[in-house]
Amino acid sequence: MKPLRVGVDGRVLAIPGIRGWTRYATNLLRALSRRDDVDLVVFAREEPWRRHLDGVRAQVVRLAAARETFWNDWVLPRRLRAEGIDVFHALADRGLPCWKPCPLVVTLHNSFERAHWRALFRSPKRRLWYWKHELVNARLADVVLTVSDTTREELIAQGVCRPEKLRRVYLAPADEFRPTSDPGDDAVRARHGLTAPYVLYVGGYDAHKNVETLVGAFDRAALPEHHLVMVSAQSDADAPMRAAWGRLRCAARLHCIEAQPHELPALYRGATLFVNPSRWESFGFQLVEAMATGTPLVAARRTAIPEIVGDAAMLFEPSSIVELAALLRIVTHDAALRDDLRARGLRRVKQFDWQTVADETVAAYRRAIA
Amino acid sequence: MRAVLVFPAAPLPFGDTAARWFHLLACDLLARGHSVSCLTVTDEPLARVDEARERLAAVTRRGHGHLRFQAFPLRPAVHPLRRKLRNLCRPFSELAYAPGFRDALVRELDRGYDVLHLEQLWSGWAGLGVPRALLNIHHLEIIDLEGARGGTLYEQKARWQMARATARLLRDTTTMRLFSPRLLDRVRTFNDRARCFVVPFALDLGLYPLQPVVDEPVVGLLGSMHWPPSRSAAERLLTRIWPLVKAQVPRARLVVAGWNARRYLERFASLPDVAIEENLRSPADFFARAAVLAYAPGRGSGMKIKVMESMAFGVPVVTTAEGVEGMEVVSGEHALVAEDDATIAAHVCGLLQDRGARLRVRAAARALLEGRYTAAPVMARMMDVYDGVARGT
Repeated sequence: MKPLRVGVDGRVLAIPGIRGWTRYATNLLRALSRRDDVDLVVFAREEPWRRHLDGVRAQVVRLAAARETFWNDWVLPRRLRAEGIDVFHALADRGLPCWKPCPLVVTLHNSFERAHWRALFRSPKRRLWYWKHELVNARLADVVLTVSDTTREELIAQGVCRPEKLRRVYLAPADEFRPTSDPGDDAVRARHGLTAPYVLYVGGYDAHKNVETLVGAFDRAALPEHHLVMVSAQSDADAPMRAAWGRLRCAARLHCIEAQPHELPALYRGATLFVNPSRWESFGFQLVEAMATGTPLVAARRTAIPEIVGDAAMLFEPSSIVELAALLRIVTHDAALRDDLRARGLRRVKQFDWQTVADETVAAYRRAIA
Repeated sequence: MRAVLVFPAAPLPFGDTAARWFHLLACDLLARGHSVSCLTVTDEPLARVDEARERLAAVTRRGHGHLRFQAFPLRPAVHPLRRKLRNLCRPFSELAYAPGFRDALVRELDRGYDVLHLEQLWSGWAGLGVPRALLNIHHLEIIDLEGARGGTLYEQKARWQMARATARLLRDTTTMRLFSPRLLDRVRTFNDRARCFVVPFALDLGLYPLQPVVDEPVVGLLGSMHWPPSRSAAERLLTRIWPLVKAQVPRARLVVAGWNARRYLERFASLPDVAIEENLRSPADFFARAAVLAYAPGRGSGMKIKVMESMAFGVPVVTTAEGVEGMEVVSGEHALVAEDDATIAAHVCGLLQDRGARLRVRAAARALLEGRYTAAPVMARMMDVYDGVARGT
C-alpha cells in the first residue's frame, strides 16, 4: 500500500524549550518515523531546533513569509497542494489554513483556553486571532484529536466542534523516563544542590497550576528532613510569588530551579514523591513521567488527572492546603505506601506508549481522508 | 461574642459522640476568646460532670475566654401525672424541664447573649420563641424509623410521640444547623422558611492517632447496638455479608463490638471466627485490631461517627451511602461505598487481600478528615453561622 504522505505543522519545533506541545510534537514524529506506512513532511517557517528532530525521519520544507497569517493561510496551503500531501496535521491547538487544500487534522491539547478566552486574550486583535482559529478548527478540521476523555467531554460541552469529529488519543512519556537509575543521575542532582530527600514539582507557575497551595501545604506539613524542589521556567511575573515564599518557615528548604529537559528523569527518580497540585490538566505529561520513573504520585482531584492516574496516585482537593499537608506527611513517612504507589504507577503507565499514540493518530488520518 | 450553650451530655473528649463534639465546640469557643455559658443537662455521674467542668476551666486558665459552667440533673421534679401530661403536650422535653434549668437559662439570657446554641433536636424545646437561638440537629429519628411498623404498644406510642415532637420542633424553630444536606432536605419538608446551615461534625484528631496497619484479615464493626441502624448493620453483616467474605477469605475473622453487643447479638457468637465483644476499654483498642471496618446500615440519618473514627485511626471503611452521609467521600479513594451485599463483601475481601489498597484508602481518608472534618475548618464555618445568627442575617 502506498504510504500516507502526512504534512505536519512544524512551527512548534522552532520553540527551543521542552514544554507540552514540543514534547508531543517530537515524540509523535519519532513514533510516526518508525512506521513504513507514513511519509512525513514537516512544514516550517523558521528552522526547527535540531535536537527536536533527533530520531525523526521527515522531509523538512521551510517556507518563508513575512507575516504569520500570510504563511498560514496562503503560502502553506498552496505548498500542501503542490507537495501532494494526503493529510495535514496541526499539532498545537491551531495552525490549520483557512481554506482546505487537503484533509485536515488538528490536536487540541486543552479546553482551558476556550473556558478562559476572555482573560487569556484581552485585546481585540488577540481575540480576533483566537476566534479565527477556533472557527477554522470547527469548520474545516476533518478530525480533531484531543488528549483525554475528560477534555473531549469538555470540548463537546463548550461546543468547540461536533462530537463525531473528536477523537481521544492519550499521550505518553518519552522513552528516557524509566525507573532504572542512570549513572549520571547523582551528578544531575548534585548540580542542582539536591542532597537531602525532596518532594518534586515540575510545571509552570501559572495561577491554575496552584503551586502556592503546594508550597503552603509543604510549609504546614513540617517535614524537616525533606526539601521541596520546583522545576519551572522562571520569569519576572512570578518573582513576587517566589519572594513571598522567602518568609515561610520552610524557606530554606525550597528550591526553585530551572532544569534542562534531559535532566528531568534524574530529578524524578531522586524524588521521594511527585506532587501535581494543578486545578486544570487536560492530560498532564508530568503525571505519566512520574509514573514511568517509579516516583510515588500525589495529585489534585481535578479535570483529567483522575482519568490519567487511575488508582496509581493519592488524590486531594486542590483548594485544601490542610488535606495536601496531611498527605505529604503520610506519604513521606510511609515507605510501604510509597512502594505500592510506585508499583501501581509502573503498571498504569504501560497503558501510555507512543506506539499506540502513533497507531491511533494514523487511524485518525485515514478517517480524515475517508 | 457571648454564647449560651445547652448540652444534653457532659462535654468530654471521650465517651459518646455528642460529648466529644460538645467538648470540641466549647474548647474552641473559649480558645477563640469568647465568653461561654455552658448549661449541661445530664444524668451522668457527678464525677464526669466535674471532669468536664475542670477540662473547660483549664482552657480558660491558659488565658482564653470566659467560662460559666452549670450542670442540671435530668430527673423529673414534678408529679408523675403532671410529667405525663407535659410529655403528651411536649414529648421528649425532659431537658427543658429539668429542675433549675429553665431559671438558669433565663438568667443567662438576661445577662445578654449573642447566640443560644442548643444541641440535639429535643433540646429545641428550650429555645422555642427565644431570639437568636440555633438548634443543632445531628440526626432525625423520623428518617431512621421510617418504615418501622408494629412492635409493642409502648414502641408504637414512642414512634407517634417522636413524629409529633419532631414535626412541632422543626415547624417552630427558626434557625437550625444540620450535619448533612439530607437532613436539610427533610427539614425543608416541615419548614421552608427556616434559616438552615449545613455544617458537618468535627473530630479532634489529636485523640485519634493513626494505628499501625493490621495485616491479619480481621473485619470489625463497632457500634451501640441499642441504636437500630447499628444493630441492623451488625445483623446484616453477620447473616448476609460475612458468609460471602468467609467463602472468599477463609482465614478472615470478624469482631463485632460496642454497647449492648452481647445483649442483642449473642446468638451469633457461635459462628466460626466471630467474636462479639462489649465493654471495650477504648475505641483505639478495637481499631488497633481491625484491618477493615464493614458497616452497612440500612437506614440511619446523620453523620456516622464510627466511620469517621475508623478513618481517623487508619482503618479502611466499607460502607453504604448512608454510612458516609454528610461526608465528601469519593468511593474507592476515601472509603469503599456499595449498597448490595455481594459488592460490599467483594470490597471487604479486596481490601483484606490487598495491603496496598488498604494503605492508600487509609491515607486518603485520614487526609480527608484533616482537611475538612477537624476543628479548624468546621469551627471556622460555625463562627460564620454564629455571626449570621447574632446579626439576624
